[in-house]
Amino acid sequence: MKTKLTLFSLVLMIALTSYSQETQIKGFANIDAMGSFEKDTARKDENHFAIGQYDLFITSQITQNVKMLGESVFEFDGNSFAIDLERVMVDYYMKDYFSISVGKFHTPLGYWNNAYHHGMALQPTSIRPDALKFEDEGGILPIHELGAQLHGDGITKYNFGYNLMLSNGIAADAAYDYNKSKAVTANLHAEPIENLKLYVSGYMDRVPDGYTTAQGITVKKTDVQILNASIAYVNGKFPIEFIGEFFNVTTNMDSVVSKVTNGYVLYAGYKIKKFVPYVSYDGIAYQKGEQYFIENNVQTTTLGLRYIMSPLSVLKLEYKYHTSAQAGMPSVFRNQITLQFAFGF
Amino acid sequence: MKKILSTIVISAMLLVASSSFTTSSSSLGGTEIAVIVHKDNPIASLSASEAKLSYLRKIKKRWEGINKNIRPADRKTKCAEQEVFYSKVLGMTADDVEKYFIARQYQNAEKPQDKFASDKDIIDFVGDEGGAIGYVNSASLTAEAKAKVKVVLTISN
Repeated sequence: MKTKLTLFSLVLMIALTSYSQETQIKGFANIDAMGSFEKDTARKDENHFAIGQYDLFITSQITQNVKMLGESVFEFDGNSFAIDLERVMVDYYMKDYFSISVGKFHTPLGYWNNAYHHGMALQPTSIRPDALKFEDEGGILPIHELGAQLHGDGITKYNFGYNLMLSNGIAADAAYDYNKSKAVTANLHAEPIENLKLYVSGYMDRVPDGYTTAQGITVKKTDVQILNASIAYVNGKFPIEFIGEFFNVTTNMDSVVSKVTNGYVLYAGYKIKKFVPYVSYDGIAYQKGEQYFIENNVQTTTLGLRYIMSPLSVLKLEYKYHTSAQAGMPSVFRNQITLQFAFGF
Repeated sequence: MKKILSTIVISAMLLVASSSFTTSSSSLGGTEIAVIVHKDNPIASLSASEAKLSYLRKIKKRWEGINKNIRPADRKTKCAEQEVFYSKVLGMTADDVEKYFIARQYQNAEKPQDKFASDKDIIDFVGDEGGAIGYVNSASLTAEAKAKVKVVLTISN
């Protein structure tokens, strides 16, 4: 093992010194102003300014065939600013249709999760849809995974591509996997017309008995299966842009309780010079008696206007109507207005 | 709550109003540009759509035959050559091009386009870098330049 590590380090060092690295450091940040009020609840109306995610990413073309990316986000966790290493990956190119990457990635599920990551300046709305929320925000999808993936694209004139990933899975952290079984993710995509992207993807993992999920539920042994279909047309020659995504999450707990959760996102915008008025509708619907997730059906309707000051300076004005219905609790209806200035540097 | 709402609405109205006064102008009359690659690149010619796919690394990331990464070269600031290349070859606005390369870098660690101040700098880069593709004013292609680079497409405005 030691010999292999030494050999690997030596090869890496030779590679680094024999090729002039081209390293770039870039970042994204956003500052939000928001006001919200809820109907029929004791919660007071709110209005405040907030710093969003302060995102630094580094890319480097290490050799002709090897490139890397690292992304760290500074965000307020309720008490202080915490740093999260969101992505770090090394990619080895063999052919356009065959590359291998190792590290921590955004799981190749659907469109949004790999198109927008953490920088808000590139994302069409001011926050991620509920179905695509990060794990530490109580999301239903394994957004980040640590492992290895084979991937490729540019196959035929329809630009077919694929990702096949083996990863630690849900019950894992940056240094440890809490069970022996690994998660498998497969993604097939195509671009039959320029900028029209189609995706189907799937994910399978086993969560061990006694594991406490990101939502704070201690579960019995659970098989998690995710199926996805997505379509997106963004940045094309036509002024319209749209994204549609559907996620079907089946959890089978202890081979006894099998429940299905559906997440969906519909987004449409229309570009008028530097303005993009847009609308989106997204939500999560849980099956009654869900035990793996907190059963909290949510729906959000968003009306927004994006002003693109420059490719990396965007102002978004949004109205959101959000409903949530947690099992055994009264429904909550929230109106929210957000003004977000998102920028890159 | 009311105050913050009013501020937001007024800001949005001001933005809409200010943008309606924005005008764009361009003086591209008679500009002919040449799309160039390294002289050893086996590609003899490209159509406008092939040049677009190569420049944006949409289907292929490497040139066939020389096995070199495609390295797009761009101008640092807005100029007539850039406007012709963006509109006639890429069919994109300057903002779209910038956003496209940043998004690819952010998603896949792909190196964005290299940017240069002049045609001479682009010719030097393309002449030195085996995988480069760039665009220059056809008038900038002197005999010395033509010894270093190959013209694969010419576009007139």
